Amino acid sequence: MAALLPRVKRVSVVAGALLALWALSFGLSYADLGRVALPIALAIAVTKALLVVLFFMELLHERASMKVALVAALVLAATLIGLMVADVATREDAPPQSSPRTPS
Amino acid sequence: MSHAEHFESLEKQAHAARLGMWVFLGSEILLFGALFGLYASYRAHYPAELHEAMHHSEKVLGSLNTAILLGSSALVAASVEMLRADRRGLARLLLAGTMLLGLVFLLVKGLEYRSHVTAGFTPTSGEFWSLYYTMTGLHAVHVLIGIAVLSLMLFDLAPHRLEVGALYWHFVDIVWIFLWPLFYLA
Repeated sequence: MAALLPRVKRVSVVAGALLALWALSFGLSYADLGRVALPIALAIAVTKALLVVLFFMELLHERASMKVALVAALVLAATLIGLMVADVATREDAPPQSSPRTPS
Repeated sequence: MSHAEHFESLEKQAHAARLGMWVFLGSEILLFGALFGLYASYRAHYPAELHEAMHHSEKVLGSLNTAILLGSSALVAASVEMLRADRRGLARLLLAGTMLLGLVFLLVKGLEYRSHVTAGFTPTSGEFWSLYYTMTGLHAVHVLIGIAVLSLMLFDLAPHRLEVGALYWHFVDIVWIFLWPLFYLA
């Protein structure tokens, strides 16, 4: 019971950080950042995801078996996405334009 | 609190349950990973189309939903802590709050879909919209399942059960953390 207060405090601090990053990302979306807009938005997303995984999902103090399960999945997903990106990046021609789009 | 017969202790049972959920989440990462890969290749092939279509996404509603899901993750994390400290009433309240925020998320998502369909944007309206409906739709199904899982936890409230349900909920939150910038912001 004595340990409750610091634990609730930790959850609140992480929640505050998540909402601050959310506000930062939302604010930046109105700035005209051009080509770096997406990398910055994704970097903020990765930071938020890390906060959730390490503190809310408690991976920081979790056993090695869980960490291995996550890292294995991430390596497999990175291989999958990496090969897809490599395919797209090295194609000589883009595929033909598809379906007619509805007027906007 | 008693443990299942085939486990030596509740601690080992809880560990096995968490490991099982992490392995399952690994398979979910691959499912969503394939779709994120598809997004990357569409973005490389049709940058102008995606950029143009993104101006029609409901940025304010989508951003509101991001905050709602982040808040719900915090509530369920707090609920787990309360339950560990045997504050069952508070834990129950926080868990109910989590589920309520999940329902609000789905309601807002529904409003977004309605607004898009009214404006003529359907899953067949081009690359952006087919990905948008597929990925956010699959995510919405996960939110719905998450609410169902958490509601089962309410009936038999125990830390070693709730922490597994909470892992799933946090994962669904993380998927949205990445969908938000890709479909609304940049």
